[in-house]
Amino acid sequence: MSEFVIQIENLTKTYRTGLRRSHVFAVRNLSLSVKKGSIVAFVGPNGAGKTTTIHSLLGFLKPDKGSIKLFGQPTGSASLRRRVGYQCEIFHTYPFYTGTQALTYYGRLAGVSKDVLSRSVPLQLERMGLTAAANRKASGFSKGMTQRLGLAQALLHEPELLILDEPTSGLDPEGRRLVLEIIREEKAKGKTIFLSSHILADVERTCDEVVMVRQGEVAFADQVSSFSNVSEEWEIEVSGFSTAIRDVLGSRCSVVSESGDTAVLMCTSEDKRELLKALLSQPVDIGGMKRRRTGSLEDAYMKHVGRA
Amino acid sequence: MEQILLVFKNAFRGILFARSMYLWIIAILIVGLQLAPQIIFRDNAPNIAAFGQRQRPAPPGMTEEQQKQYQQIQELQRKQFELQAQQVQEQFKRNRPRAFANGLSTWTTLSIFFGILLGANVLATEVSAKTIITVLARPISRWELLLGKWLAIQLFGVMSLAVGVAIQFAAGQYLGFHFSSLLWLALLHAMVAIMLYSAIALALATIGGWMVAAGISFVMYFIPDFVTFLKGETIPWRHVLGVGLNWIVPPGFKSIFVNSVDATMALDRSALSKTLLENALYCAIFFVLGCIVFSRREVRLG
Repeated sequence: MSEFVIQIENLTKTYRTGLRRSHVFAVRNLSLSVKKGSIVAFVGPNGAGKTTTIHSLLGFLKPDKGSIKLFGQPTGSASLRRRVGYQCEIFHTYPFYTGTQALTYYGRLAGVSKDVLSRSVPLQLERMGLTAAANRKASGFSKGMTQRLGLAQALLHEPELLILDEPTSGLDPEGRRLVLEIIREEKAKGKTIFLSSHILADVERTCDEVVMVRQGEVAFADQVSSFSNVSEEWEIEVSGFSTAIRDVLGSRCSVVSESGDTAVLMCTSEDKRELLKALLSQPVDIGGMKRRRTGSLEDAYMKHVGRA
Repeated sequence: MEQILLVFKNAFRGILFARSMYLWIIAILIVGLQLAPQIIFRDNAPNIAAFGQRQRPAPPGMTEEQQKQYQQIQELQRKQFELQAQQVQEQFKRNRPRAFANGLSTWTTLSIFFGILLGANVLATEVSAKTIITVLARPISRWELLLGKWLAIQLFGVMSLAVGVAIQFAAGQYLGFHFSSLLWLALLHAMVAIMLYSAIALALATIGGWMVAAGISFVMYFIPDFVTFLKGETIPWRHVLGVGLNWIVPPGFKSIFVNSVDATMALDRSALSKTLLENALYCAIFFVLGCIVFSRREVRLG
């Protein structure tokens, strides 16, 4: 069995727009793969091709070029969809259903028996904090409640793969926290999660890998853990810094930034002790010192995807 | 099968939620206007003889003999008018069952129109409300989705016909006439017509917008007679057009409700059976085409 749950190779999808029906690339030669049991974030600005990719994954859209495989098989069959739970960006349900009825309907459509649903629906509603609204019409739900109901329907049939399109959009901080906790719980159960998001803090907190897209192409992909890594380099903030002191310190450090008589010095772990000794013998104040970070997810986003 | 049943229940609930039953109020108003004279003049048919009752005085300057002749002529005219009025009254009462049968035809036509509107709308509503995306992400085939929705329209169609028949039956009891067993055959034709035109509208809605789908379906409903006319034309291009259209356009709804109240009306049963079968066949063809198109098309949400 393939270790990859999602395999997309050279996916290209165009739309025709305008009077001249000219082609506009929504996704261009996009390739990515998602390992079993991982949480992969799909990040990019609006119009980058995230939803087009997700809809192609689910078989709603037909690619112009490239191949998409779910669980090692070409996408589109009903048996594959049984193994997938999907929450769309803004969940829309039937206004005449209550929370319980909506979940029962989606659960039954996914092939879950009535008996199982009679137990799992109240559990999912409780998990999403929607027990009090279980018998209220979904048309009266707030945006956050509707989103949580959308996540509940995606989880009902215990799918192996969860595809979540902006799962935390429209949620208040409490709801956001709840949803992120649920995502982590699902990962702990061994599920694979592929989610798109704009909120980089959520990605840093929950995901294993990040794939950044820009104008339909993969701009950057890496492990999220690489952004939380700290290097072997140290940064020391010094007040009362002068050219004379710089000469004394010699090659033991480099100056990262200098503003007035305050400077940030950078050195390796090996040189740190010697540098501190040298600094303490000089008329300077040491404001603080910390390990240097290799860069944040936001930095990477701005570098590879941002407009700047 | 279970998936189809689930979609069927969901779609029927959606139809009721959209207050489609208000359509019946419109139908009741239309048929009510059509049958109002028969209901208003239940016991005494309109007595037009009253218009001839007024005696006009003889014009001045007539001799006594002339006045006598004038009165005789007037009396003769009055009697003639009374006779005519009596004939009109009898014909009015005789035509009462036919009028109600025609009312049932009108009701059926409106039920077919409701079927067209629902067929064109039922899928478009799911797409515009974006509820379709979560449904299609489930292990359900698109033909199952279409079939469930189409069946829900049929249930609404059956209910529409039942309401119409109940109203006409009640009126029949009130006015003292009965439908023969041919009513069931007439209702079967009506039901097949609802199935056919809702299938056409649903199939067309898988390609384009609901208004285009409904519009083309209405055209398909109205043109069978025109197609027959074109087929009989001697001008080659008209004849060819008629023959070509004859392949695309189903025979359509043939009302035989009048036959169920008037045994003297001629009824070609073999032609009727052929029409019924052809309508059923066209219904199946359009539905299958709709399923094929819907299964192959992309689902794009604005």
